[in-house]
Amino acid sequence: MTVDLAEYAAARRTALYRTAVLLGCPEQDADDLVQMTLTRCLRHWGRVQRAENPDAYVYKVMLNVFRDSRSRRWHGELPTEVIPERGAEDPDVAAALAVRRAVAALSEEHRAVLVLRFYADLSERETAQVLGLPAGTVKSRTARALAALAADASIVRSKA
Amino acid sequence: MITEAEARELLARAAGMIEVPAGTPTLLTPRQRPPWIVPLVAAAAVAAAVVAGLVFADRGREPAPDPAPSPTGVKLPSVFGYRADEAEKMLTALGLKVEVRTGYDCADAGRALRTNPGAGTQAAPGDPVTLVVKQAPPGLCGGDIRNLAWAILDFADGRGSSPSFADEVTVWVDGVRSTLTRQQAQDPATWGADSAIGFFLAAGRLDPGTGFSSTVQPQLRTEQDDYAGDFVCGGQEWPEDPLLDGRKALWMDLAVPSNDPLPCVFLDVFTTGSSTSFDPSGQIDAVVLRTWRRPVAQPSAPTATGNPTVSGREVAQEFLAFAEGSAPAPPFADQVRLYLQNEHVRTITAAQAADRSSYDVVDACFPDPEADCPRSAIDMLNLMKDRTIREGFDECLGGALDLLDGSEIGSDHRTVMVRPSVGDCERPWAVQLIYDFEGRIAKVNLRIPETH
Repeated sequence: MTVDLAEYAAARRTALYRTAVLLGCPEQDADDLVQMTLTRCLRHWGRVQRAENPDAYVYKVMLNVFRDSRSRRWHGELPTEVIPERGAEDPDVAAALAVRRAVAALSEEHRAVLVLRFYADLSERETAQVLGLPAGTVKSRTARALAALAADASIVRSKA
Repeated sequence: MITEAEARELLARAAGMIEVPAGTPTLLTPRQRPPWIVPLVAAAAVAAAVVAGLVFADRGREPAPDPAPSPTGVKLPSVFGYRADEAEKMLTALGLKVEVRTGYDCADAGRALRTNPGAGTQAAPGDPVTLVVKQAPPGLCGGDIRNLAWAILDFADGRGSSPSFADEVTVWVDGVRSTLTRQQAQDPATWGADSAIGFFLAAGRLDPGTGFSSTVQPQLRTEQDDYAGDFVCGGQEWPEDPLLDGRKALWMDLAVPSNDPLPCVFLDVFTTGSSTSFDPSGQIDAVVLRTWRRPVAQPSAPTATGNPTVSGREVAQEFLAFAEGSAPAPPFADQVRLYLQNEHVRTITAAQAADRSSYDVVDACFPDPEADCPRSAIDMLNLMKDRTIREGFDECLGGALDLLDGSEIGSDHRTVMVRPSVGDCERPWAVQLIYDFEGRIAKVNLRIPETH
């Protein structure tokens, strides 16, 4: 099956944008990150299409572009500071904000593994490929990341 | 402990409140036709023009702007390579309502990144356009290799001073090696649209208005490090040159918004100073360009059979000085054809061409015949002091004015134009000179807005 990039971008843009923000990219830069990721992928689009999971390939590119740009980036602005305070009275919004803050407060390693596994919906093996880690490391890191998230008292769990 | 299911739900909830801006340039709306067909054709046109030795790219000979108020308006130019203030000026001059969006980032400090809507989009005066620029946080970025990357592009674009070159500069363009003296390398005219750096710029401005913009990713490595032979640009192997072995380059990777054939454009710049790392303060001693353009052959395009002994810039400078009366007549061909709006008006002899009063081609100006009315190319150059010489692909004029091209130029001639500096795109004009390889001017084309 062939998917052209226009279709892919139209279908996945929202998810890519949100993944970018959850991974720690400031919102004002997320657009650029998504665009750079897609233009990169376009270069290798044939290879992306042939990949077992094109999403995994795209996320890998996104992570590389993000790390690459951030290594030269001004570090004065922490991701947590760009999370808006709007609608804090609404309990749902407040809960969602709490999760975002908690995710932003995680270590980069933990954040990446959680976002890729549970938001981008990649398998352990795919996550390992994206992060360039052994699958076993992803497994243990996921467990530690979940524990770290659970330790954040501000998170309201739905079943609590 | 949080279960995996809970983690999914929490993240989905958090993601749900991340507002994704609507209609941003990254959104490729589904179309009947894949949008990159457009840039590909444009890329092929430029590649063909470059192969043909033409020094500007015709944009499909679009009709000149309608003198009456037109709903089509102007085509948004590419802001690639421009500083933020230059890009804003250029867009404002087109009558657009420019909103500047700034992000802090050292990476592209002070540079225009893209517009929304994207380059190539039709816009009418008064339309809003968002210009995305990057601003450096004060005092935090320091010297960045990107500054050098942009300085090199600015220089080739005729908008900046020369970077530091070594005594001898080795240039590889798609497998063809040449050497330049320092003096040659320091002349921006050396780096026209068919050169290593000029091609990079021209390719960067091929924005099709599909929402993608070209971006540059300068990095300190060679492409060999990155792709390890996995990705070969345009079928071009990395040049076998002992001069380049084991050295790190300032590698500028242009992401062109086009799909297939893979539109890679890689520019590697090497400096003296260190044999193992890259020294941004060293002198440039090697430049390697690799592009996808070679496979794009256009058999119908005329092929240059030689090389000019003078640059277009020199030809234009001499003609300008002559027009202003500050220099004697430049060399002319035996017959000089005069054009108005790309239409041949009459032919004068070389002797007549040496007389500045021989160039009148305009009978009357409307609506105000008494206003500054350029009767000739000579008049135009004297009226317009804010001008620039262009040999390369020209975005400002490319969307607004077509010029003599292809068969009118011929394979044994080249063309150069004098046109307004950046910011004067709303009343585009151009004086186009066509000259032979000895620098003799054979055709003079005056191009003015129809409303002038």
